[in-house]
Amino acid sequence: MITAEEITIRRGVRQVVHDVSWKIGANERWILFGLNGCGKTTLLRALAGYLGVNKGSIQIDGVPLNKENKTEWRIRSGFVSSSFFNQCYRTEPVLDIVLSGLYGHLGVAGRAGAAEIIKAKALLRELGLGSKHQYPFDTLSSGQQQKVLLARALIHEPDMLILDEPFTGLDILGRMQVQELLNEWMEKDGRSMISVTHHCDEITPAYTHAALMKNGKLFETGFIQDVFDSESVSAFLEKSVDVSWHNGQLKIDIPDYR
Amino acid sequence: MGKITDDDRKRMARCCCKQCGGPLKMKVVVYDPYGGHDVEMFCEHCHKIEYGTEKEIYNLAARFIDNYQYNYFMDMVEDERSEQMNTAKLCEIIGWVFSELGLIGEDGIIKDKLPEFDI
Repeated sequence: MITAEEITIRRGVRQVVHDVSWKIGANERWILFGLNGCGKTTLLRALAGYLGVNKGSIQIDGVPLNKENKTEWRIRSGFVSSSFFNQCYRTEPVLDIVLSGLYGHLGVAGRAGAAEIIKAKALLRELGLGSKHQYPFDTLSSGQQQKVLLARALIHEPDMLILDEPFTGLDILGRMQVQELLNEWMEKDGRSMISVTHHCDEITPAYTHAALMKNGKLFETGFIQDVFDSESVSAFLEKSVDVSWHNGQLKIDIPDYR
Repeated sequence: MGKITDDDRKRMARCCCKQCGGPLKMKVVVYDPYGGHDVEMFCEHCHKIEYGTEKEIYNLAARFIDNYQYNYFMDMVEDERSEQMNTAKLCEIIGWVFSELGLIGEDGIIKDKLPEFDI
């Protein structure tokens, strides 16, 4: 579905992503795991069509992603990143933000019809935000904002979800609501997902693959059970760790973390 | 939004922000200083991406709010912001009515179809 070929992304003189090659196929659900500042968010922005690359290429079903087709890809994929959208949205009404997902732009541009509005409101209701659709984005809590962004990503039933720490800021009920929506979305065949997380409890066998990212490079990629084993994670963290799976839940113990 | 079309330019010239009634402009919204941006219609006063409404509709909505102290957002403190949000809400309702009655075309309000009253 999406292929990154030796992509490099610079921030001024600093290379944030170095020669990353990555292939994500249909029905694959990836965890992207890495320490703070390793370039995960930047890589996701590029894969979501919101940031150009300095070198290499991103291809969608074999077609290079470029200025002409980036909007089309943004409509086919759903991107959730509070660190990204918080730079774009302040006082925009929640409903406009959700509807903007249909067009691959930041703004709704007034094109939504009754059916789209009803769908957006239904999604917001499912996420417990039924009474908030007219409110400005900046009057919502961070967890509520995260739900709005998820509704924006899901409204057009995308083929792929690109999620940058999707559970950040959510309370226990919010996490369940979001997980339920994601599970529902994943039921359909052919859908793929990339999700960034720092939390082991979010890494479950529902994900099929994992990528470990370090210093702007993909350190290891593969099936989730192969990537999250003691040997790989110890090499990745440069510390001896014990990795185990209990009832489908990943556990990483770092006996000597100092 | 995508490429700026002639219709967008006409809309910017003709319409206003449905919250504050201020002018619209095209703004490059930069979300990444190293190469990520989109062009969107924008209200500088409200600092928001804004598609706007016809000025006549805004004037009607603002007059209604003024006359009836209409408040859709009961749980908000009544201040300038809630008044603007109420105006925007009414603009949507009036805009829908105008559209349903065939009073809005591609170039905005079809004045020939309107009865003569001061908006």
